[in-house]
Order: sequence, then structure tokens, then C-alpha cells
Amino acid sequence: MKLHRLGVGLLGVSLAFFGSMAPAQAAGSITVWVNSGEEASYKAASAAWSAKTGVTVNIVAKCGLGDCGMSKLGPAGAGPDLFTASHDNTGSLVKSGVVTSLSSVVKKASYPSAVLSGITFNYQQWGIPIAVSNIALATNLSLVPAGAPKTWKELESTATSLISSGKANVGIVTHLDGYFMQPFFDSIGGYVFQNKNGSYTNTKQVGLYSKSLAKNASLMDTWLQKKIFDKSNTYDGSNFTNGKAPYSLVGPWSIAGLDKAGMKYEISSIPSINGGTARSFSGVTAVYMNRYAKNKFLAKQYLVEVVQSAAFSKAITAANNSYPANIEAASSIDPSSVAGKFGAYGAVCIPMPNVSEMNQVWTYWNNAFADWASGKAKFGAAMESASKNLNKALGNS
Amino acid sequence: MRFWLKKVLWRHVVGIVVAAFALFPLVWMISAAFDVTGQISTQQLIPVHKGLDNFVQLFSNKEKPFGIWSKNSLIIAISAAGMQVIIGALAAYSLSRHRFKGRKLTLTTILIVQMFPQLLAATTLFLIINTFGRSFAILGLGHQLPLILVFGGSALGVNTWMLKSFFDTLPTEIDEAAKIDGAGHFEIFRKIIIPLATPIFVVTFLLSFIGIINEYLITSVILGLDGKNMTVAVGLQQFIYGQYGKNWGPFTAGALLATIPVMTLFIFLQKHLVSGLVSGSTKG
Amino acid sequence: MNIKAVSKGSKYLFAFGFILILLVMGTKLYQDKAWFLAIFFYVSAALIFYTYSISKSTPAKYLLPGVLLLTLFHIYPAFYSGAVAFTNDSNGHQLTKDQAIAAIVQDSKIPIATQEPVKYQTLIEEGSKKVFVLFKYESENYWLSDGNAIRSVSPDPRSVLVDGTVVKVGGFTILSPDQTQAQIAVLQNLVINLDSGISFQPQDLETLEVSQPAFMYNEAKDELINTLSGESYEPNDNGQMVSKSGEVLYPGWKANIGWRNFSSIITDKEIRRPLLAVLVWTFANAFLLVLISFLMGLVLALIFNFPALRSKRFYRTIFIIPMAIPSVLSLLVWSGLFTAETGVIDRLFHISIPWLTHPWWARVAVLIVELWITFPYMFLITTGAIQAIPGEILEAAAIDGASPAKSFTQIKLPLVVRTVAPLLVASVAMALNNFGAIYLLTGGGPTFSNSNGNAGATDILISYTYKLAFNSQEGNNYGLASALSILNFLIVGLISIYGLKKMKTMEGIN
Repeated sequence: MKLHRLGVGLLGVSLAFFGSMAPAQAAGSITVWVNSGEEASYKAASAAWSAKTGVTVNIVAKCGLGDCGMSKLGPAGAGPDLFTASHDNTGSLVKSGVVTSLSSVVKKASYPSAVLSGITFNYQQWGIPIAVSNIALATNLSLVPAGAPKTWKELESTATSLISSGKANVGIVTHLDGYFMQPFFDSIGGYVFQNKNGSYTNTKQVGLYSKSLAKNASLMDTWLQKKIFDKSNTYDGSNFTNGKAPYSLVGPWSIAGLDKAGMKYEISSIPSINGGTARSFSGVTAVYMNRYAKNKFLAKQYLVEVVQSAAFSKAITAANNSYPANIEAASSIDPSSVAGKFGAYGAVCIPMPNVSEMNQVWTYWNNAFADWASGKAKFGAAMESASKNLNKALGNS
Repeated sequence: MRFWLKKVLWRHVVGIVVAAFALFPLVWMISAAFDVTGQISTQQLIPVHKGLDNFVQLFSNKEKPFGIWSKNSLIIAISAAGMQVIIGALAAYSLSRHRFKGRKLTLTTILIVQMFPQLLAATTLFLIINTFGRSFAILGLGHQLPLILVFGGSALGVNTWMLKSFFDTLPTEIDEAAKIDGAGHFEIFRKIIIPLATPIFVVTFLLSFIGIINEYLITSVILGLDGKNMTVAVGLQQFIYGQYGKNWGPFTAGALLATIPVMTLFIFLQKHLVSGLVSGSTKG
Repeated sequence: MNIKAVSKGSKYLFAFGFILILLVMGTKLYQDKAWFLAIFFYVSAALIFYTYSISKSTPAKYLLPGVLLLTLFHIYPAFYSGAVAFTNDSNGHQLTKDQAIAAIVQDSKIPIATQEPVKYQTLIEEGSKKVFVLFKYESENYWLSDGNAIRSVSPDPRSVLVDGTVVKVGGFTILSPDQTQAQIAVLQNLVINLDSGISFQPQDLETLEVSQPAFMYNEAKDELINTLSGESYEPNDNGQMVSKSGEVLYPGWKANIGWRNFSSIITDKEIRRPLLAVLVWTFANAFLLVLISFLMGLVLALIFNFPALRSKRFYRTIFIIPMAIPSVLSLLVWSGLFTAETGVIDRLFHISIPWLTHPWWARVAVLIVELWITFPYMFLITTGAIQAIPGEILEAAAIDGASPAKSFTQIKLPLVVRTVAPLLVASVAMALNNFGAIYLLTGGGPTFSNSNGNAGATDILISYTYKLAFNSQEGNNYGLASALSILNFLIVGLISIYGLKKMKTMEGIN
């Protein structure tokens, strides 16, 4: 009896192992890695094509920030056919050799030139843009009934008067790092790398301490001292949600929190000190193709027939509150909606440089902001040393 | 009375101060869990906007399913802790009782190997499990079985030392007596040693269990970023991942829910735990 | 039936079945080209068979399962990581040399527009069963190639249709569309090159993409030539193709660089400076933590060992609560509490300390939290040690007229220290690798301003190494990280061995 039962048990175990042996990928399937949390929207947007062509589309949540681990997995043959990433990874993806050029696939006319420049590297296109996201200014309408500021002067005076009357603790709730402070950086004349004809490959020209920034650097110190910026550098949104700050820099990810706190707010662009609009960084989410994909033909077909369509862009962005990169899809967004407001500002923003040197930029740039915020150095001095160190690290000097 | 004031009262004062220190984060965790605005820095002790929203969010979020995370954590932790205790006990018994040529070397090797932190070999573990997955789906990435086996790989470690110390305290006369009665070595282990060692097994299981519930690096490498596969330790971090948009509310709510059973278990088994650690200290 | 025989028989069947499963798995792994794992499974099966049926050695039977798992998931990864230390494994150096060169060539393709798309047909060579592609380009010549060799063919005009499709080629079978579909895996990786440099690649099941890569690889001379500029590129010792003028081509490949990672730790200022600071703090943190928490635990143990104190159990339960909260959660909560100015701690005590942004305050914060986590353990073991002191010794001392203070310093303290010394050594070893407490609380920050890397004021060696390897901002420098892991291992190992040796001599003295 015991033997018999054991034998059955053994058989069962062996069957389980045999059965679990992964079959070779069936002809007619592709694998796409997407950001965790977005599988549902990708699956839904691919369903119709999958049914029509009989190709199975495996959507797997494997990505977060960065390159999805592709630099190690792709060459080892463990990667997917397609994957999503933020466009600023383009440079390092290309330099790692793990993505295939999609220049012959991208329909340039479908996307704004700023978006295209984000996925362009070395004069070729490497990703199919889907969504554009950027930060924007949120104004607390209960504290500032007049609404979003149209000029910098208006922003500054509103903030300082609220602070001096004690109604507010700080002017603008934001992180004090490169990504968030970019619009103010841009406003006073600073830049990271020169953008020539949509290409950022000129890394010899670093603008962290450009002439015009050097001239205006003291403004940043004044603003910090006036509490326009919060030197505790925590981006703890509660100052904004508790009505203790008139403005905050927010991204599409913050909207849910604002709504939950029951806030009345307005999303707008950020005014520049010289009258125009201060440009933030925009991020483009794009689909890239693994150079070592196992199903190149089908993946290409999927890119052409599904990913490039306006419907796809619209479906994905609707699900994650970002703005479609596809021009046709974008035209159907209501400009007065929150997504519309983000998108309107995003249209004038500049895409983050996609060169792999950005990694070093962030290190020095963010350190400089931290030193300035903690009071260790004045803004000008901090940026000057960051610029010097960065140039040295990049081999420019 | 005088005696009490002079000798005892100040001890209570010290005790209360230290207790406040020990309970400090727990108290604020509770406050933040019931505060619907989801921040922790500006947290008030009694939240201004009270509510159960955070808890509701935990269980209704399809992409961050706390319920499934808890199930995953329990399955993995119980299986792996059990495996660690069994393997560790077998090895510790042998290292305690048997005198063989490579004994000292084995003991030292176990100690030394544990000093190479597994987390730095995370990439290699990833590649190994990935290779498994290409031949056997259930041994691949995103599955619990390979993770449990990886934890089993750590069984010969600190736990083994602790178990060995305990076994060393059991007089060998017991073994001798049983041998004379005709019992085989494994029978001695099963029928005599195990019942005597139950308290220490419980302690070892508890410590392993907590350690595995706590582990998030290797867990996230092997289980991946799919919300359905995560454990509590990995999953809760998703709420406050990245510098922007930290959502402390559900995080603290989840942390609280995860802490309560572990803490209860701890306090309940406190007696065994204390005697185990204490005996470990006196025997070195 | 004899019960013993049945149970023995079933035990053997179970073991036999298990070995069989391992062999089957090993074979599948071998078929899937997972060499190391396949061999490991075979060897394990053999060892299990030997240990449990033939060998007389009892210890082996108890140790084998643990040892096998330890080898596969601890020892092998450790050695593999060690091997990586001798390569330049990092972002941009993940490919093999062949892959890198193929990528450079492929990315340099300049598309050639043709009036009509170039169609191709798929053929199988009878005999060798290799996949060939037949197509017509420009002249009336047909080209036949399998990606390696190419030759022109002139099919019999009678077997060519009006649209150019060939229906018969001697020695080959022409595939139908369905059969072509089955050869997708080969077709999509096929690259056919003419001597003139023109390259053809199937872009779907019927048409070829025509292009002219700007780079050509001369395998014999191991150099890449840019056909447009005439520049030639040769491999350097860092896994890259470099021109005489120093221009580097991407991507590079993973190359063996010998001891360079290790030597760069000493010679490269950008690595050495932050590393030195990190090392100093690694030791300081570990020793301070163990010292302070031990003292705190000891003091509390002495205070609460007082017999007249009836609520001992109550306090003890509360004191060990920090051990009961999963540290991954409590550490993150602490990081939130330490927020400067607006955070709970600053508000509660009416102070304004920039805990996480100021290097020295960050270190204090780290020590406070580590103390919170560790003091319960120290409290328990010192309590145990004190309680283990035989009462007679203390009584004898009291009779001899020793004051409580003397009784403490001369009797209690030495005995306690001697008892818990091994545990303290183990605590130091663990504290040297206390990754979680650092990484979750401060991320190793605040970052050193002038550093090239992400080394920060609270970084210990293991957190710095982790960031080097897994922080893509650092270029995922696995090579250097592996070298540092070996260094880490040596440090912790040596300190532990030294500590254990010292204790053995201490015991000898007493």
C-alpha cells in the first residue's frame, strides 16, 4: 500500500516537472515588458490586433525606472522583444548596443519634433514614442483666488505676501534637485547641454555655469532666503495640501493625492523671469526593440500596426494620466482637462538630454543643489564648482 | 516606602523612557496609518484627517494587492523557514555529535561563507534562476519555489551555529543509552533529540521566519516587478518608491498590518526566544 | 509483511525517485545548454546516490542537503562574482566581442533605396538542410546565400516565372509561404553581404532590406574600417574599438582586464578618495554600534535585574518590540520621522536639525536607529549572562565586604564580557555589513560633493558597492563592484577570525 502510494506520488511529481518544462516560444507570439502597473492598459490596447493576427502578445510588468535591466539581459538572450523606457535612457541603451534602430519604422510626421528629438541619437531613431510627461505648476486656488500666475513677478509677490502675513510657510513646494529646478534654472539662463538641431550630442558645451546664469545666480539665493523655496528640501506635499503653500511643482503622479485631499487647484505653465515661459524637462515614454529579440518580424509588425497608432497612444496615456506623444491622439485631448493643461505646458518644454553622460550630470548637478539648499554654498559658487567637476569628469577640460 | 522610592522608582523612570524610545516608531506608524492625507513628516500624533482610507486602499488596489502580498509572504516565509530549520538541525546535530575529519573545516567554512553577503551576488542568482526558468517554468523568475530554495541555501549559517550550541548542551549519555538499546543514528535523532530540542527549533524557526519576511533584495530580484508576485516587504516599498509621490498612508497601514502578527508571535513565544538567546549567550 | 522492510523499501524508492528526477532535470538542462547547472545536477544525483546507499559515513548523510544548496546558491555565486572582478563588466561592456562588432556594423547601415522592393525566396539545401535565400538584385543575376557564403546562380529560364519567381533550383527545395514561416528564427537573423559591401537583410517573410553599412570588419586583421572616412579601428585593452586618433566606438564588449579593477582602487584618485572615507565610516559605525548598544543593553540588564522590581516581564516585553517589527518597515518609517524641520522628531523636541542632509547628523541618525534595533538583543544576552553568574560568587564577594560598585567592575563585568564576547564579535561582523540600516535610512547619503560616484557620508562598504553595481547612474560597474565585494569579504572575514582567535586566548587565560 505504502509503496503504491509512493509510486503514484513519484509519478505525479515527475509529471509536474515534465509538464512545467517551458515549451519553446510558440510561433506567433511576442513579449513586451512594460512598467509595473500598466499591464492592463497595454493588454487591452493590443487585444484587437492580437485577435486579428492570431499573434499572442505577452505583456509582462518588468520595468520601473532605468533600462529594465536590458543591458544585462538582452545580450544574454533573456530579454523580451520590446520594452518601454523613458527616453533619457536612449543614449545608454544605444551605447550598450542592446536596441535596434527603428529609423525605418518611425513615422516622423506623427510626432512633434521635440518628442522625436528625445528618441533620436546619432541621427537615428530608436524608440516609438507613446507618452509625454512633465511637471507643471499647481496653484492652490483657496490661497490664491486669482488663479495661476501669469508672470514671475506675480508669483513672487503673491508668495512673499502670503509668507509675511504668516498664511504660508513656503512659496513653492518642490524638490531642490536638477529635474524639478530645471525651469528656474532655465529661467536664469542655465542649461545642461546645448541642443543643436534636436540633437544633444554636443557634450562639450556644459551650461551649468553659463554666463547668464553667473549673472543671475544671486537671484536664487534671494529666493531661498525669502522662502520661495523650502530649504528643508523634502518635497513633503503636505505643506501644499494643508494650505500652507500657494504653489507646488507637481507631476501627473501627484494628481490623485491632490484630489483626495479635496484641493481646488489649477495646473499651468511656469513663468520665466524674462516674461516668457520657463521650460521644464519633458520625458517621453517610448517602446524600444531588443536587438536580440526572438521574434523580430512580428515585433516590427506590432510596432508598425499597433504602437504607432493614435488609438494606442491615447489608450495608454488615458490610463496613466500622461499626455499622448502622437499628434493625432493629442488633438483629441480636452485642453481644459488636467491632462490637457500638462500637455499644453509640455509642448514648450525641452526633452531631457538622452545622452549617457547625463548620469554624471545628475550626480554633480544634484549635489550642487543640495549644497545650496543646506546653506553650504551660495548658488553661483555651487554651480561653478559643479560645472568644473563635470567638465573634468567628461574629459572636456 | 522609602526603600521603594530609593531603589525602585528610578528604575521605573528609566524603564518608561526606554520604553518610549522602543515604541517610538510604532506609535507614529499607527498615527500615519489612520491619517488619510498620506504624509509622515508633518504627522500629528492624533491625525487631523482620520479615517480608514489607507486600509481600504491597501485591499482595493488591484495593482498593489496587499492581500496577495501577505499570502505570498506567508507561503515563502513558512516554507523557507521550515526548510532552514530542518536542514540546519540535521547539519547541527551531525556537527555536534559526530567527530569526523572535515568537521572543523566545515564549521569554519559555514561561518566564512556567510560573510560574503548574498546580495552582492544578486545578479548571479538572477542569471541562475533565469537559466532554470528556460528549462523548467516553475523554477524560473517570478515563481516562489526558486526563492525558497535560495533561502534554503542560507540554511547552513548562523542558525546552524546556534542549533549546534544547543545540541552541545545535551549530554551525549542520552545518545549512548539509546544506542545500547539498539536505536540507529537517525532514530536517536528523531525520537530523542527532536523532542528535547523543540523549544530551540521554535526559536530558530521564528528568527528565520522574521528574517525572510524582512528580506526584500533577493526577493525582488527573483520575484520581479509584477504586483501579483511580490511579498509584503517588496510590495509596500512600491508605495514610497522614488523620491516623488511618496504615499505614506497605505505604506504605514500595510506596515502595521504586517507588524501585528509578527509582533504577536514574538511576544507569545517570548519565553522560548529569551531562553534560547540567553542559553546561546551562556554557552557561547 | 515486515514493517521495517516496507518502510526501508519505501525510503529507498523515494530516494531513488528523487535521484531519477535530478537526472532527468540535468539532462533537460544539458539539452538547453545550461552546462554548469546540468553538471551540478548530475553530480548532485551521484553524490546523493553514493551518500545514502553506499557510503558508511554518517555525517555526510546529515550534511549533504545543506551543503548542496549552499554550494549552488552561495558558494558558486560568490566565486562567479569574484570572477567578474577581473573583467570590465559595466554598462557599454555587456556584449561579447562578436556581438559588439556586429552591432557597430549593423547600426552603421545606410539604407539604399530601390525602385522596387527586393523580394526573396527561402530554400533548404537538400542534404545539409541549411536555410538559403535566393534573390535578384540589379543585374539579371540571382544570388544564393546562407549568410556565410554567397554565389551567383543562373537558373534555367524555363523555371523562372514572369514576376521573377524561380520554381526550381537543382539541389534545393523551394519553400512555400507556410514553410517559410517555420524558418523565421533563422531568417530574422540572416545578414547577406556582397563583396562590394552591400548588405541584405530579410525585413519580413518576403522582402529584403538593402543597405550599405559604413563599417566593415576585417576579421583577419581584427580591425573595423569606416568606408566613408577610411579610418580604421582596432581593439584596445578595455574592450573597445579605437581609432589612432583616440575615437572610441560603441558598443564595447566585456573584456578580461586582469587586476586593473583592484589596482584602480589604489591608483585612481576618483575611486580611492571616497572609498577611504567609506571604509573609515564602515569600521567606525560597526564598532560604535556594538559598543554603545552593548553598554546600553548591559546597563538596562543591570537595572532591571533587580529582584524587587516586579514589572520586569512587562518592561522586557516592551524592550524587545524593536526586534519584533520587520526592520525593512521600521527603517523606512524612521527615515520619514527624521525629516528636517517639519519632521516628527524635530517638531517634538523643538529642534531644527538637518538630520538627513548634513553628513554628521546623518551619521548620528544612523547610529540612533541602529541602536534602537540592536539594544534589545544586547539587553537579552547580557541579562542571560548576568543571570548565569553563580550566586555563590556574588554572595562570597558581598561577605568579603565588596561594595556594589566593586562587585560590578571586578566580578560581574568581566564574567559578562567573557560570556557574550563571541556574540559581540559576531555582532561586529554583521554590523560591518549592515546594509539595510544604511540604505533604507539614508541611501548612504548625503553624497560627498566632490565625488565622482555616489559615495555618501553614511555609506558603508557594502552599500557603496551595491550602488556601484545596481545604480544605473553609476554605469552599473559590476567589475569594480565585484572587486570591492572581494575586499569586503576579506575585511569582514579577517576581523571575524581575529576576533574569534582573540577570544580563544582570553578563555585560555581565565
